[in-house]
Amino acid sequence: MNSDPLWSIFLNAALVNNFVLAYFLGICPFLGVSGKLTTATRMGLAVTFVMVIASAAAYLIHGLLVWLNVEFLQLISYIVVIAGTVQLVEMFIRKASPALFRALGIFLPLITTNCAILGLALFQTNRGYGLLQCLVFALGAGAGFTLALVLMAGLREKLELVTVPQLAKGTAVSLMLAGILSLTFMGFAGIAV
Amino acid sequence: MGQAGTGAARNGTGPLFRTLVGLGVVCSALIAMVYDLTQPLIRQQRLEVLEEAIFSLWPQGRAMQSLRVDAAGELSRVDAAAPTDDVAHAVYDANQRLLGFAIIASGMGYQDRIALLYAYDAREEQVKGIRVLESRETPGLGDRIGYDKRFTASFATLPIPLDDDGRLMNKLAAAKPGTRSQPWEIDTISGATISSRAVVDIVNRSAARWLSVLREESEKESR
Amino acid sequence: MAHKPINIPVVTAEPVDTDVFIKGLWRQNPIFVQVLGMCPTLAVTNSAINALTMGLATLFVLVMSCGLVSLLRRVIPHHGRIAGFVLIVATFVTIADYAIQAVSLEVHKALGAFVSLIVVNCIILGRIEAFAAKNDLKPAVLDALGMGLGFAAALLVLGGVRELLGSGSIFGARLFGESFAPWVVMLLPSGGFLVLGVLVLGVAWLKTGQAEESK
Repeated sequence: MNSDPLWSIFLNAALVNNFVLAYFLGICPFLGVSGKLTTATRMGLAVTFVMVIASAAAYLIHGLLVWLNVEFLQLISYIVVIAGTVQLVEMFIRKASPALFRALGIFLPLITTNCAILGLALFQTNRGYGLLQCLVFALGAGAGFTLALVLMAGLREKLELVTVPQLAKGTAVSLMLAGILSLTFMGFAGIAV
Repeated sequence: MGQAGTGAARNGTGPLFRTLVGLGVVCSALIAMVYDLTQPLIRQQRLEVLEEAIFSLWPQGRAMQSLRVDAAGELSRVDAAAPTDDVAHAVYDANQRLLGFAIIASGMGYQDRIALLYAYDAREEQVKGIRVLESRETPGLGDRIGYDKRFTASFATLPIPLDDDGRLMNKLAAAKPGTRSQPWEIDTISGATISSRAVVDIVNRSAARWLSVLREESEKESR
Repeated sequence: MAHKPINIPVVTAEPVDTDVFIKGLWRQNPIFVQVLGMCPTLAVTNSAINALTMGLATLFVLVMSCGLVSLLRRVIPHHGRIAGFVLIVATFVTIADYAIQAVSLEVHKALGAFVSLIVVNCIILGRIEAFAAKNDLKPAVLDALGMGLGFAAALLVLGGVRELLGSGSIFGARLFGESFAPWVVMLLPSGGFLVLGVLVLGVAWLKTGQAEESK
C-alpha cells in the first residue's frame, strides 16, 4: 500500500514527472495533432476523461486478477479493458451529447493506442496506489498531458510565422522544441516532496 | 477457414465475438504456460540478488529469516522467495546467533520508485549500511545514490536511537553536500539532491514502522 | 470464395523480397524517417545496453506477431481485427517480459514498465495493419525483421550517443579520462528530445544528398 499524499501525487503527475515531457508517454498525438490550440485542448480533455475512467477500471481489474491469482494476465486484460472503455465512452458520448461527440469524436479511437493510458494503468499498479490515489493520479496525468499539448500547440502557432530551414520543418524542429520545453519543466523538480 | 472469416465480416457480431474469445483463451493459455516455465527461474534470480545484498551488508551473516509485520505490530515469519517488498530479514551468523536485521523499504524517487535495503543493528541502535535494490534514477546523476562512496558511507554507522516508547529520537535529516554537522545528518550528493532526500525519507518512514518491533524481537532472542 | 474480404489482396512477388527487408533499415526507418513508436524510443535510451534490450524485445514481438497475424489473417474477422491484433501483440509482449526477467533481473529493473508499453508501440500495430494482415508468412516476417532491425539499430544509435555524451562511456566502459565533464542534460528527458531531433535532421539531410546524387 502506498502512502503518498494526494496533492503530491497530483503535482508529481502533472508537473514534475509530466507524462509527455518526462516519461515520453503519448508523444504521438503530442507531435502529430498539436497544430492548433483548440484541437490540442479538446484532445487533452478527451484523454483526461478516458484516463480517469480507465484508471478506475484498471484498479478494479487488478483487484480481480489478484483475487483470482492470475496476475500474469495483467497486460492482456488492461489492454482489452482500455479498448473496451474507449468504445463505451464513445457510444455513451454519442448518445448523451452529440455536441461533445462532434468535438471529441475523431480523437477517441486514436486514444486506444495512446501509450499514456496504458502507461497510467501500469504505473498505478506498480506503485500500489489505492482507488482514490489512482483517480487523483489519472487527473494529474491528464492535466499534465493537456498542459504539454496546449503549450506545444501555442509554440507551433508561433512557429508558423518564422522561417525554419526546409529540412528541419515538421518533426525535427518539433522534437527540439519539445526538448527545450522538457528542460523548462525540469525546474519543477524543486517542488517535489 | 476463408469462409468463416468472410461470414463473420458480413453477418453481425456472433462469430466475431466467438473468434475473439477463442483467441483470448488461446493467448491466455500461452501466457500461463510461459509464466509457469519462467517463474521458478525468476524467483531463483530474485532470491540470489536479495541474499547477495543482505550478506554484503552483514558479511558475517550465514542464514536469514524473512519477517513481516501486520497492522497491530505483530511479527510473523514468511518465505524469503515470496516476491514482496514489505519485509525485513533477520540475519544470523554461523553459530545461529542473531547479528541484526536487513530491512527492505521503498518509496518515490525523482523518476520512479526506489527500493532499498538497510542494515539495522538493534543492540547498538545503528544503521549499519545501505544498498539500493531497484531504481530508475537518471544514470550518472540520481543513480549515484547506489554507488557514491561518501553518500553510502554516511549510512555505515548511523546512530538511530529509539526512546522507551519505541519512537525515533531523531529523524534522519538530509544536509547540503559538505555541511553535515549532526550524527543523524546525511550528506546529500550534489546534482542528486532529490534522489538523496528521497532515500533519507524512505529510511525514515520505514524506520518508524519497523525499528521498535525489531528491537523487541532482538531483546527476546538475546534473552 | 465468392465474396473475399476486401482487405486481403495477396501480394507475392519474389524479387521484392530483399526490398521488403531492406526498406525498414534505412529508406523507411521507423524512428528516423517515419517517427513512430516514440515512447519507448526516448524513455529507455539513456544508456546503450537499455536501448539494445528494448530494441531486441521489440524485434521479437514484431516478428512473432506479424508472423502469427499473417497466418491467421483469414481467420480473424475483418470487423474485430484490431482487437485480435492487440490480443496477439499483448501475448508476445508478456512472454518477452517474463523472458527478460528470467534472463536478467538487472535489465528488467532498468526498463521497468516500458517493456509492457511495447504493446502500444505504433510501429507494431502499424506494420501488422499495413503489411502483415495482407501478405503471406514469408514477406510478412521479412518486413517485420527489417523494420525491427531498423528500430533496434536506431535505438542503439540514440542510446549510444546519449550515453557517450552524458556519461562519457559506451556499454558502461569509460572512453575518456577523468577530466571529461559529462554533459548530463543528454541523459535527461530533454536530452532525448534534442538528440533525436538532431538525428532526424541528419538523416533527412543525408537522404536529400542521396536524392540529388541519383538525379
